[in-house]
Order: sequence, then structure tokens, then C-alpha cells
Amino acid sequence: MPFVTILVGVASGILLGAVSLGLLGGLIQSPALTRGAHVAARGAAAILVIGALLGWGSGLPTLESVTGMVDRRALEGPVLSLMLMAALAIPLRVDGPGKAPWSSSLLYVPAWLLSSTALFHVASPARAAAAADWVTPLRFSLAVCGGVGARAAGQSLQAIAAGNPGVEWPGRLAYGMLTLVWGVFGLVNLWQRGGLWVVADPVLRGGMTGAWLAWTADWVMPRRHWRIGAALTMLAALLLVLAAVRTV
Amino acid sequence: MAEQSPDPWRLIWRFATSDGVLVALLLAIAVAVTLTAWIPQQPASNAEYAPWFSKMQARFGGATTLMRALGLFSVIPSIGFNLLLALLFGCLLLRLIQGLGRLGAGRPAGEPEGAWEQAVGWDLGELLDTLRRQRYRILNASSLYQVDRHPWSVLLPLVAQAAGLLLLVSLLVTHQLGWQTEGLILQKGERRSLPGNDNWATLTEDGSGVRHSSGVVVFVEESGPGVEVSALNADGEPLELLVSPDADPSTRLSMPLTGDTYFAIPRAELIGRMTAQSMEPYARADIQIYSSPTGEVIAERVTDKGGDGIFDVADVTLTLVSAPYARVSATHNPGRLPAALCLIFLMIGIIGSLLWSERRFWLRENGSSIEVAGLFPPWIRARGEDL
Repeated sequence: MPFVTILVGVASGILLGAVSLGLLGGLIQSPALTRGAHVAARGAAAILVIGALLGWGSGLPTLESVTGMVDRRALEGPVLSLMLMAALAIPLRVDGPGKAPWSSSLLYVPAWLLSSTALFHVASPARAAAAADWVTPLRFSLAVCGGVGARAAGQSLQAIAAGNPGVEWPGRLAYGMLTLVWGVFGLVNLWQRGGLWVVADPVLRGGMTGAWLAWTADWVMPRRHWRIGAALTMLAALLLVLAAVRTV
Repeated sequence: MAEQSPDPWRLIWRFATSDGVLVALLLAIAVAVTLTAWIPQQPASNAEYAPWFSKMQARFGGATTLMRALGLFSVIPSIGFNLLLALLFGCLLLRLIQGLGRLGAGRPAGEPEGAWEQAVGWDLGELLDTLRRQRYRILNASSLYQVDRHPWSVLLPLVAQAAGLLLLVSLLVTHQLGWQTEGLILQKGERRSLPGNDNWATLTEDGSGVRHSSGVVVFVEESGPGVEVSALNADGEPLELLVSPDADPSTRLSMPLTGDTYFAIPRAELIGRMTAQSMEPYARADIQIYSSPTGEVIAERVTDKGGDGIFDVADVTLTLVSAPYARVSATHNPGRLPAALCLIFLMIGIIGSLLWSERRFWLRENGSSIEVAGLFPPWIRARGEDL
């Protein structure tokens, strides 16, 4: 079995365990179980980061020596992006229990969904695109933005479940980074090709711009309507993740 | 006394500049733009339409007709999408005017909003010093302090809005006054005319780059080997060459070697087939000469290193001169520089606004404790936590 499949499988299993432990710990009011869930999730994050960086590094010409450790076929398609996003979607610090202690388990749901999708891609016999198409600075930047965006989606999910506004910084960070990536990509296109989106890949052009507009709507949304804001954050994060993993 | 009805213009202004309208417009445009990533859009040229439509029918089946009727294959040029952009332009313009008014008027101290909470572990003077160090503005009212980010919290979103507005204008300028040509083939020694007045593009002498008229951006999509062919008969007279049966005859043919490439010498009853050995610009090429109409191979040759060659075949002298080709896209965009500046200011405005967010809160002393209300940063709640 490929090394990456084992990593993704283990991380996905740990995350499912973390969600279940968090739910159980919240329902039976056991802080030890909830703490255990957080520790397990951090472990999964470490496994996913190692796997994603190893895979990405093996695709770069300067790090070809690493290729021997990683089965390139297992990394075809958006697996690397999904792994990196899942790793970044896991919050390393969780605030104390609020009105609904079980809701902290929802923080790990986006990461679990992303790692499960990565596992499905690794195990699926029909793979869409060659790995080389995915080892680009733009894809890497989008995956980082998508990961932080997925973390913001998890915080929003918890905020809605717990009934109080959650932390804002993951959403702001995702929007700030996406603005930077989108803007620099547009500037490079203007400089090289003379137009903002001239001959650009339609998936990146439409997906990235759509996601950026959705994050902008989220940013404009007044904070007093925090429930609608949280729903918008989840929608914007979904669009960003889809743009980051969509094949041409 | 009858209650005075509100001014309808004021109501319209409030509605048009409200956050809700801007959010709705941004989301509608986001959905439309995202659709273009998932649904392949109709090509601009008629020649590409038929194969594209066959692909769509194979992909979407019976739903293709409905999708076409709904305009899902041409989202960006649709009236609906352009109407959304026009509404966004109007909304941003009104918000910009309103924002400039707010900026000019300053921001006086207002009434506290939200419930008062205790700020644990702080001394008022120390807390105010910390806030000043973090570049908050502090207004001292009679019994309380208003803390906000004025004027940056107003100015930076205005910069972003103004840049967004001008970006829409530059897109309109590009659409109305600009043009774009894709898939243009340039060969060494050849100067191609481009749309517009006296616009042109040509490959450089060594074939590695492109020269072009000012105001045009030319981007090389791919480059490869090419050849210029000429033929002389036994008397040294040039022979006419054909690249296809319906093409105009010429004594000198320039051809990119993108695959198997054919040419004919009708008067000598010969057909030539050329294949590049690699996609390097000066790669060698294999040449086969056939007799027409029998199809018998009468000669097989390889060009010299560098792609040139002179061959004598059946009383015909063939001369091949390497002429690398480049497939380029050419764009004339009068809104290029304004668009670049707008993008830079848009990034500055948005990232600055995220760092200097519009938050306003109030502080007051209640006996020996300090209380805080409004949109205050979480670290104020308890000193030493999460600063």
C-alpha cells in the first residue's frame, strides 16, 4: 500500500475519532474526553502536514531525491491540495467550552471531510490529472488559502451550533491571503499577457474570482448579523476549496 | 398632527448604499463567475463552435438545450451579468460618495452600543496607553471613552471601493477599445499584421523572442521548428509550391513543423512530407519525397544540424532553410496600466482594512472596576490572555 495512502487513512481515522470523542465528551460533560479529542486532532494535523509537504517537495526538481520515498501515482490529482488543506483546517488552539461544549467537535468536521475526500482520491482507480499540474506556486497558495478558509468554516459551524459569534481571524486571514494571491495572479497576467484573465485556465479564473467575491461579500456583511455572516463564511470557504481542488 | 412621511429619495439612497445590497450583488456575481469554472463557455469564433457544441452534447446530454436557453454557456457576455456589473458600479459609486462625506465629517463620539462587560485586571490609564500604542483613537466624553480606528477604518475601505470602481471602468475600457488575438503563428523572417492601425509582430533574428509594435503585448504560448522551402528546376527556374490543394501557389513556402507537414510541387509531380525530429526551434527534420500520383517514395533525406538542407531529387533542387515558429497571443489593452494600479490599491485597501478593522467600543470606570461595551478586542476582557 502506498505510503501516502497510509498517512491519509490514519489521519482521516484519527479525525473521525476526534469528532466522535469531542461529541461524546461534550454530551457526557467529560473535559478529559474533549481534551483527548483536541490532542488527537493535533496529531492528525502533524501527519497530514508531513505527508503533504513530502509529496509537494518530491515534485520539485531540487528535491527529486525525496521521490523515492513517495509513490507519485498516489499523489495524482488534487490529493496534495486536499491533504494540505485538511492539515491547515485543524485549529491548534481551542477556546474553553461555551454554551454547547459538544460544538467544539464541529471544528474538525471540515478537516475530516477534506482528508476523507483525499483518501477517496488516493483509493479511486480513475484519477483526473497528472501530479505535475498540481505542483505549482499558484496551486500551493490556493491550497493554503483553502485550508485556512476551511478552518474559518469550522469556526463558523461551531459558532452557529454554540449560538455565539466565534473567532474572526481565520476568516480574515483566508480573505487577506486570497486577496493577495488573486491580485498578484491578476498583475502577473496583466504584465505577461496584457489582460487580467487573458487565456487563463477557466477553472482558476472563474473559481478563484468567484471565491474571492464570496469572501468579499462575507467581509462586507455587518457583524451584528453574525449568523448570516457565519453562513456566508461557510459558503465562501466551500467555493475556495472547490476552486483549489477543481481539475481543468 | 399627521406624521410626516420619510423622504423617498433618502430611503432610496439608504437602500442603494446599504451593506445588504452590496452583499447581494457580490454574491450574485460570484455565483455567475463560478459557473464559468464548471460550465465550459461558448467559444468566440464560429469555426470552433460546432466541435465545442458536440462536446457539450456528449457531456450534458439532453440538458444541453435547456442550459443554452438559460444562457449558461455564455454567462459573461449576457445582459444579466452586465446588468449586475452596472448595478455594482452604481452601488460602489454611491458608497464612495457617502464614505467621503463620512471621512470629511470626522467621527464624533456616539452612544455606547451593546452590554457592558467587566475588563479584569486593567488599570484605566494603562489600558488607554496600550490602546494608543496599538494606534487606536481615543475620544474622551464626559464619563466614558470612545475607542475607534478613525480615520484609517474609514479611509482604507474607501481606497478598496474606489479601486474596485476604477477596476470596473478599466474592464469596460478594455472591452470597448481593446482586442485580443489567440493562436497566431509567427515564423522567422515573417512580419504579421495585427488588428488596429499599423500594429505588427515578428520573431527576433535568432527566433528566441518576439518584437512588436508599441501598445501591444505578445505572449509566446509555444515555439518549435519550422522551415522555409523553395525549389528550382534543372534550368534554375523557381517552381511553384502548394501547401494544400486550394491554397495559392507560391515559390517560397513557410511552414511550422507541428506534426507531419506536406507540400506539393505540381509541375515536377512531387509531394514532400516533413517531420521534425524534436520540438527544439532548430531541430533536424526528416523529409520524404513521393512521386505523384503513384505515391512511390523516391527519396528520403534528413536536414543538416540547424535545420537547413539542399537536396537534388528528380531534376529538382530543394532548398530548406530553418524558420522556427512561435504560437502567440497578442493583446492590445488600453486599460492595462489603470487596471494594474487598481489591483495594487485594491489589495492595499482590503488588507489594510483587515488589519485596521472598523471596530468601535467604549470604556468607563465603574467604582474600582473598568467596564467595556461594543465591538472590543477579546484580549481586553482579561489582562494577560491572548494579547
